[in-house]
Amino acid sequence: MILKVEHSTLFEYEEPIYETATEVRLHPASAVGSQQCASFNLQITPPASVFDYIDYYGNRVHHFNILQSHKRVQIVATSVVETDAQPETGPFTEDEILLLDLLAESHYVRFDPAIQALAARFREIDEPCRQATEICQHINDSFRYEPGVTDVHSTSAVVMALGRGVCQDFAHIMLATCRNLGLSARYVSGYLYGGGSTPEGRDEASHAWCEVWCGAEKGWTGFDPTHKSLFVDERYIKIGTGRDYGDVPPVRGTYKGASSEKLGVSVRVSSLEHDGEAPESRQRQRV
Amino acid sequence: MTRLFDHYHPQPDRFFDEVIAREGAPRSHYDIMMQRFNQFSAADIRARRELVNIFFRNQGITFTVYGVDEGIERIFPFDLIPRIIPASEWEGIERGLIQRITALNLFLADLYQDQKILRDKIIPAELVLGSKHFRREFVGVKPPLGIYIHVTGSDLIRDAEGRYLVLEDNLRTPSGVSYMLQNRIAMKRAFPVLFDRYTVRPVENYPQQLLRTLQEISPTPKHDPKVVVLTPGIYNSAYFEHSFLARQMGVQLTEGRDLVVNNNKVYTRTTKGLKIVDVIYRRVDDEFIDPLVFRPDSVLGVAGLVNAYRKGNVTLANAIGAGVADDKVIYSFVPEIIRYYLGEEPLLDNVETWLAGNPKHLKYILENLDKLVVKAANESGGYGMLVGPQSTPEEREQFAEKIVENPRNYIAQPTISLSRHPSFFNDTEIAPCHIDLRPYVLNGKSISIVPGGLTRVALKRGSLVVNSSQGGGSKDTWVIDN
Repeated sequence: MILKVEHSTLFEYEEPIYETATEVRLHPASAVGSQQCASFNLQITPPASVFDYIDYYGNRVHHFNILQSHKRVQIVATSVVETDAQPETGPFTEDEILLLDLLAESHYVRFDPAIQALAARFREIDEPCRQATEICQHINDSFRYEPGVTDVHSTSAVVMALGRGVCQDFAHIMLATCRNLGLSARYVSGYLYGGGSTPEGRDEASHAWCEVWCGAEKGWTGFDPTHKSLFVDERYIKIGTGRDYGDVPPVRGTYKGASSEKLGVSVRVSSLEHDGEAPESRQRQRV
Repeated sequence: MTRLFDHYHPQPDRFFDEVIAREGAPRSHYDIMMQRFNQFSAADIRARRELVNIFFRNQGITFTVYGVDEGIERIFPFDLIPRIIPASEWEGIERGLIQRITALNLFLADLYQDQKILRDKIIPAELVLGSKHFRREFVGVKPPLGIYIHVTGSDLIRDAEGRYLVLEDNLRTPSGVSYMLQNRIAMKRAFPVLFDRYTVRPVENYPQQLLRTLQEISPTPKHDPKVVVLTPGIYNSAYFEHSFLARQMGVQLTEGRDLVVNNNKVYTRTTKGLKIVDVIYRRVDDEFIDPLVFRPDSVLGVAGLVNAYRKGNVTLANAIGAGVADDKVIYSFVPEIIRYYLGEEPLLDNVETWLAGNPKHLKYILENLDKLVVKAANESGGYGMLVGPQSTPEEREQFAEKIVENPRNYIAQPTISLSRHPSFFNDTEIAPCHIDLRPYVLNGKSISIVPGGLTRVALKRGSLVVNSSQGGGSKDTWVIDN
């Protein structure tokens, strides 16, 4: 599919703030697996010089700062991405140190007793891909999708105790379970194109899921514990990966000044293959 | 009249005494010092003590003790009897430290570039990946001259045979060098005659050497690169030192709020507007140095600093992430690190170390808690440690729980009988007290070590802990030409 993403983030302040410094991870991954990023444009208001670098996990990070006082900052990222229905074929290789890194606990991914007990239920399955599929199915079946009960700081331990959450939380649960069983697994930040596919029939354009290393033959395999389809296909657009949400937040920043911050995010993913008759998905993203 | 050393009983069969050899005679380099102190009356000593106290008070030389509610600012106790190291002995230390710092720097360069040492399985990768101070944010960033550790202060001790051993490496923001400089001034004032009887190698030019090292790592070669000192502020235990060094080097002392990053360049705010900064001697820990990248709640840092560093527009001393190499678990691999990068045998040995993360070692540690010193892998300053022989069964039980809960975070070492040195317990009496040595190493275009360093002394009777935060004091340290 050829998909267009428009991702707008707007920060508004009651009183002027100054010395904003911001990092964004919004550039869709390119030449990974079955995805190509054809174009990317980042627009900052008020205008700022934008710089970029590649981080430890291979994600492209853009950053900018605004010295003078301002009351709003808008970041609009527009990209066109081509995704392929056919998954890449192996054999695959991966850096052994990265695979080790993605086996350990991290800030959001904790091996608390509840996770250990959950993981124990899948220990007998001897094939990584099947193991991951069963875990994904289990989370999808037994956790309730409910926005507003968790927040951006909730760790897997918190979500385990609640039994509810959103895509980011489900991804963390799956990562914790897989890693506790010795499967290297990473968090994926991205978008999902498609109408009404959340458990409640709503769109969730800005999305998170996981990838599990399923050995040289299958490589990194995407799993989405939030959606019943479980597997990642051409509707999924990947931005980047990391140990957990903390490694790939879409927008991270600081500012000076005493003012309350109001945040508005809108994400729109549309298909470019229907001559402007694009079915759209649109949603205000939770933050 | 009783002479000062008449009642000095060093027990040289149990401990290495720096002054009195095993046979009971003074080591030759201490002859003059002993004779001189033996001539002093109690009144002479009191007068000199008073002189030194006034000097320290006037200089405002203090440090802050964390974890107590009242009177946290203290004068660092100073002992009047100098420690003397003959040049021949010092040269061995110097060579050993140069070797060690060279290898540790290569280790950091490798960890933050290709990670060959991990791929070759010399060090288990999970130990590095699991280290609190391994900064993924810094991987791929290339600091000028390939130097990661510009200012270090490794702690050396001597065992019962007098062998120098490295107890720990301080590669982040080692402190104490200002005490070394002040101790020398105090000593020269209080004992001018004694000082003149020896040819003591000078330490006074340390601030100028530090400045030169900092200028050498400027991102772009400049005639007069702008260097600043970055301090966490007046509540930091070493604030005195930060302001002292800035003043001695003639550079600006800044806090995070005095600096700003614009378009990947760092500026200091001056009355004449923004002025570009080339090199930052930072005494702020990694976690607090850039709220954009590390702890977002930090008000001590500068937002965007890491990206300016990454772009090569500013240099930090020491580099981000240097702490991974002074993690106490990684410490136990330093001999391997030296062999791996330099193909040499270590000139200075480590203290034998058991890792709680290794199941066999863990068993040994738990069974011998009463004999061992146990330390948290990432703490410094004597915090978070258990001195087995001086602990109660309850303390050991509590500590055992902590170790079992998070074994990666603990190491254990035998209780080394640190060497001892005559020191004043009060104004008139001396007794043997345990000491260590922190030499200061500067690493720029070449490595230089200030002769001597800071000798820390445990002034509590029987105590082995020399950290200033735990009741330790210090001595002037003289490297003398033979």
